[in-house]
Amino acid sequence: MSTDSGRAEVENRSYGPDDGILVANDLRKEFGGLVAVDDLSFAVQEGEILGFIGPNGAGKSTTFNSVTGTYPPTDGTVYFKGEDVTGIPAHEMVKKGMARTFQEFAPLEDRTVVKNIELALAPDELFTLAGVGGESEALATEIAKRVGLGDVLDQTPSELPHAGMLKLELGRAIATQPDVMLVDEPFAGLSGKEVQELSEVMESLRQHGMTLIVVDHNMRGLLNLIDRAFVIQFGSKIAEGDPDEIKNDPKVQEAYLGGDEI
Amino acid sequence: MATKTPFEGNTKERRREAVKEKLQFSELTLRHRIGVYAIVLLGLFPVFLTPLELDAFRPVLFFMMFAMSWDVVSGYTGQLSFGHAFFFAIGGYGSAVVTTQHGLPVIVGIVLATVVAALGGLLIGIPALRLEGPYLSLVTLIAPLLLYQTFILFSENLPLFAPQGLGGTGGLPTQPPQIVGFAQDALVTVSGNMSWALGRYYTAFAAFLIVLSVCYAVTRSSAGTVFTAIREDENAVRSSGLNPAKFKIFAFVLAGAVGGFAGAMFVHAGGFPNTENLLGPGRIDLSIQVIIMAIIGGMGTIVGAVAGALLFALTTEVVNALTFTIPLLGIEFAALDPLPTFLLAMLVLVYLPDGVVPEAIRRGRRMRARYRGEEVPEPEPTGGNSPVQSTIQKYREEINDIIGRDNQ
Repeated sequence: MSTDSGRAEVENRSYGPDDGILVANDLRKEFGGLVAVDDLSFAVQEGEILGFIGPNGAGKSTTFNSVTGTYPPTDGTVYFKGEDVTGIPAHEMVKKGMARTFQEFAPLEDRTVVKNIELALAPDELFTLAGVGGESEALATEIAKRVGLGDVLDQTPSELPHAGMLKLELGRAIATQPDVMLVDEPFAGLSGKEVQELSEVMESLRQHGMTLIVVDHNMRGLLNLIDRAFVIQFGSKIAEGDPDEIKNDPKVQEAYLGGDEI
Repeated sequence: MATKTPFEGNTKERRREAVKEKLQFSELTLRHRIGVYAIVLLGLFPVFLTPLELDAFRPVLFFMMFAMSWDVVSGYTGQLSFGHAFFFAIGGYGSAVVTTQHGLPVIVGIVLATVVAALGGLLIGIPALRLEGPYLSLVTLIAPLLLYQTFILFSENLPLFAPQGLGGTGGLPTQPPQIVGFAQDALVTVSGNMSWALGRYYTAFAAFLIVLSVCYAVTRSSAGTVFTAIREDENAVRSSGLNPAKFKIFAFVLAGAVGGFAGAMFVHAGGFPNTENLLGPGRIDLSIQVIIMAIIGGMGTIVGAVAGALLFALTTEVVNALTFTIPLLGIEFAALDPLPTFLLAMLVLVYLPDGVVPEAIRRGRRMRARYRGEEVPEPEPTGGNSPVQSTIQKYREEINDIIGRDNQ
């Protein structure tokens, strides 16, 4: 596809509820007079690993805070599994099968790694015997091992290195048994080996049928992981396609001019 | 996801088995066994105390219940309540009014008072969803003051609810019927001072057991881990698919119900329903005291609240017994009360931020390990926050949000 027609499509297309497992249509978020997300539309297909890329301050986090219910969008619609979920609270979104990790980690400092993950297995009920038989601890341990925290099960989050905290975030998100997982800036500050390790975890999640959205401000480290990406700037989408297409897109190059490398 | 699924087989059956197993004495860990011995010892107090001493000790049982009521909401979720006696007073006055002014049986009075206090918990819990910590604390602080004013305002007559009035500062005009007492209106009529004292003590002790079991069961279930997670980070709770609002309200309602129940039992077990007993001498004294008790013993542990109440009472007792005159000041040491007790609380906060009970457990473990010649466990890494520390941190952040980050 030629770049011109491709971009025209990018800008004008709007999506219906069944165009993907997670669909945002004309999503808009304003803070006072500031437009952080400007009528953004996108669709995420089931089973893909999608890169969601944009320079710092492009509105990536705001977009996903609006989608995952941290705050309601000013306008627009969010569909999840064909259902209108615009503005429902964050914990409801998690229950519907959409998990997320936080860029600023949100661990529980007072308990061990395995107990952190176990919280996500606790039922949202006031009176329950769940966990008494030790089954949620066993499952939490299993998840911790899967994300590479098997050696540090009994450490507290503050003892973990940066990569460990990330794995913990990932583990907790997995424990909510999501269908779609949003991973916010997973590779920031990681070594090449750690990026590799984490990519493998995410790839294996996809093999198990999970859809992943990876947010980052550049594509370094993402190239081998993602199937498709779209790039936003000033709250609007400027490009969409596979990693090579994105790299060669003049608009993207312009957006990154003088700044980070795409 | 997992290769071996822990949910195989009959989960319900296994959970029931697990609960049974946990309740078996021989399977209990040392600290739990010590706890059981301590409770048995409390139950045996009448064997070695005179009726007079028993009467003096009975209020301590109620302090324990009040402190547990505070701990279940504030110690666990970090939503500090500065006016917790609100619930005790609702329970005590409620049951007293229902039984004396409406002539209903004691049991009905206790149940109604507990329900009303639980509704009081809802009343405080709902603002808690919208208010940041410091603002919420103001609301909780004002609640008992408003209640106090209500008692004065409607001292002669509160239409429908209390036809004979709430008695003002002096308390209700009549002592409500007792669960065990001399009078005909008592649930169990006894004769003789000894059996009366025993009856009062065991009524209080039974109430203590009920409150302890309820608080213990809830906080040790998965709801308890959600409570403490709210104290640590509400975002983490939300992103775990749990509704923090629901658990916060539940904590307040539970604390209200437990506090109200304790207050109601207090007036039916020898305690007189007046503001001094149920709100404290200075309107908020009791509210502040329960906080100190829970912090001394160890916030967010329930057991700590019990131990803290005991320590608090002991310290007060010791201070009151020290009648020597302080040189230079020329006043009796006992006259300083409650200053020395509060000072002790400050020292605990600084040197044992976890509280006495968690610290004792930790030291006990190390001592036992040394005694058995095992590897001595390392002292806790400094990273893990104690409940007091995370609550304070949460407050600091919330205050910073209110006054603006520049003032850091």
